[in-house]
Amino acid sequence: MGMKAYIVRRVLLFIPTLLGVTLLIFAILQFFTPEERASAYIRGTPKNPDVIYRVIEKYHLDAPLHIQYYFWITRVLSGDLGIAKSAGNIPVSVALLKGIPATFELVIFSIPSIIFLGIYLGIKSAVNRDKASDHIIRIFSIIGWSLPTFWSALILISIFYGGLGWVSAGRLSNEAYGVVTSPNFIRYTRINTIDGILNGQLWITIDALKHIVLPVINLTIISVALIVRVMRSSMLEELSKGYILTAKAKGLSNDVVINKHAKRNALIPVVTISGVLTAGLLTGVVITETVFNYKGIGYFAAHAALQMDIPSVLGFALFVGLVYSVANLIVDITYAYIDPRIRVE
Amino acid sequence: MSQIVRLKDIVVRFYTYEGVVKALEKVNLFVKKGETLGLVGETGCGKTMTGLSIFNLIPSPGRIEGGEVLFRTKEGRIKNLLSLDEAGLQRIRGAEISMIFQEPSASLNPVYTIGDQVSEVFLTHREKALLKNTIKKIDEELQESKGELLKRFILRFEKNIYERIMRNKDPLLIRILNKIPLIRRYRRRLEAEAKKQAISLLRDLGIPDPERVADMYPYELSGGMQQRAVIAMALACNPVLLVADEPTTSLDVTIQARILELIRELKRRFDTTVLFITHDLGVIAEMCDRVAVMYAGNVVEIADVKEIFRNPLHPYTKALMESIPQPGKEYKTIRGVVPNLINPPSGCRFHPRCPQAVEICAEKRPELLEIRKDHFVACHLYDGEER
Ligand SMILES: Nc1ncnc2c1ncn2[C@@H]1O[C@H](COP(=O)(O)OP(=O)(O)O)[C@@H](O)[C@H]1O
Ligand code: SF4
Ligand SMILES: [Mg+2]
Repeated sequence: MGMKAYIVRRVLLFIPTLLGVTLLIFAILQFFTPEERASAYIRGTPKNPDVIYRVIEKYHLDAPLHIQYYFWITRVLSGDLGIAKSAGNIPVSVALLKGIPATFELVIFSIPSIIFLGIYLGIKSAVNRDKASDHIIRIFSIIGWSLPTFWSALILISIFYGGLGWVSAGRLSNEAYGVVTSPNFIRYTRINTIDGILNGQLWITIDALKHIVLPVINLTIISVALIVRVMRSSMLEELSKGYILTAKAKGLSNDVVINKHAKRNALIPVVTISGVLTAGLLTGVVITETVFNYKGIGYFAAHAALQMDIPSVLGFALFVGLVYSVANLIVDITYAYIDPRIRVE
Repeated sequence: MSQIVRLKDIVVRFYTYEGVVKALEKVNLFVKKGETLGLVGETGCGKTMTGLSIFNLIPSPGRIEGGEVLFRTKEGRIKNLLSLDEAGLQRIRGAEISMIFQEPSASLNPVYTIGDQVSEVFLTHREKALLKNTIKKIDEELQESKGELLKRFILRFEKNIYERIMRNKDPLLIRILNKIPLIRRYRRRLEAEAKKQAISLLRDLGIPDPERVADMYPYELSGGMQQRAVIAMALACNPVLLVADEPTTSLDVTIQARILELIRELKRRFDTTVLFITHDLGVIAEMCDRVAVMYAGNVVEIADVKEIFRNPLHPYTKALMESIPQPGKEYKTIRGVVPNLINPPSGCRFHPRCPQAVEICAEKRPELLEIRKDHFVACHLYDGEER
């Protein structure tokens, strides 16, 4: 089996991809003057212009490009991305690290719900083609697809927060927030649902879950339609193929024909578009977090952009590039796992 | 000789946007035990749909709208496959009747190994026997593994599940267990047992190095090897009837001959009855005992092979015989075009092209009648109607 060799090859390809991502961001940086770039490494506004020149010299900001890149990438790798002025003058890397667990929590709940719901509904829709359930699924997924992210978020907020008064926006209620930030609560992971369990305070976990439900639903609404549509059409295509007839003629049950034979083939295009889905999800995260006042990395990026905080925005871009490359790596490996024909070549 | 299957007045229609395609219009034929019946006709005349109607597997937007498929099961009971429920059909498909299709590469699922796809037939239809073997093996391992507590515990657990499946106890529990990743591993033994049988079957079908082939994916095999694998799936449970739908049309000429030889040999060995679909009269002469000729959704003539070639009665069959390219003889094509089945010709569907058509041909549909012993024709020239 060529699976191992394929994974090794694909992981090796990951290195040039990352290099490309850093080069791209480095290229964007070149739009700014050395002085502007230097100010990224200075807290607040310097009173003495000498400070800027000292930074330019120390960080080689006016050196030839390849030397500049060398020093820049070394700093990036050691975690120095500049100062985030929009987040109270803390280092960008610190701000990112603070936001990542929250976003991770959001995404880790959203992805399974998007993927499993999308695949389930897509199959259901295809198997019941042109029947009522097919129409209903398609109508709802089209609505979800065409709603702008902030719009669906606002609708959810006005119904569940405003109208029904379930919980307020944010990651936690004020009470829970007080406990979480108190010194005797240890934030092991900064993922509240997990930290609640680790501290033996289950109500924190429940409080966090209550707050995360709506953002997760929002992200699901905007992304699930893509999976449903691709799954439905690829499922319909597979169901009309010769091997399905063979499988039925072998006496296999409908369950096996659909969930073993057709599904695995139909998943191939779904896996392929999952890369696109990641991109959509990342934009969705920025808007969803902002509207729900959910302080993750998307919230941080939106605020940085509004305040023209260049180092923070570029730090976020670097993060996005990294996530995107990893997502595509996972997509390609899953792809090869499902389809043996990919492994060769 | 008894009949294995009898198709009575089968009507199949396709409901398309362009209109209703009257694909089969009262098809009648029967297959006798042990024989090879050839089904011949031009592309689009309904051969594949006739074969599929036996399985009650007409693809949508098609539907079987009338008729009966009377099938004699291995137990000797006669069942109408068109009124059987889905579960009943599934027990018969692949176990008592099997089909092989024209395009072996399309008949195999590209993402599962050959071994997996052949094993599946055993797992579906021979579960009891597989279970028995597996339980016996577990017992042997239990004997050998005195003292290894964990191993014995797992073995006991697996044996328990197998015995439950065997007694067909709580099928719901089994279905749930089958969905849980780690627990599902218990099926490995069953699958290994099925795979062993699959490999020995592949070896029987003349596939070299069957252990290796079983772990290969369809795209790694040649067309001839793929078709052998498809034949293996079809014959796995020793069916009484094999429907072979142009099994060699898409293969190279040299491989065609070998596959035909294989089918002949297997037929002898397993005592299978064959419905052999082809558009090639040469293959018919080589393979079949009797022939049914189809034209535009009707069976127009049925007779022994020798009789059909020596003494064709239906004008379409005659034209078909004359269109065989032969050295020293004039090659004639049939005049006119194959009719559109959305608006088929009235009466006899062949009448616009028939050189012997008479008035009634456009009005009345000729019935398939036994004109001489074992020679059936559907034509007004022979049923006394033309006078
Ligand atoms: N999916 C389909 N949609 C519409 N009509 C179909 C479809 N499949 C088959 N038919 C009709 O059924 C007729 C018989 O098809 P088929 O049995 O496949 O012919 P053969 O096997 O003799 O070439 C065709 O002429 C066509 O008009
Ligand atoms: S019934 Fe009439 S049209 Fe049809 S084949 Fe016989 S003679 Fe020709
Ligand atoms: Mg055909």
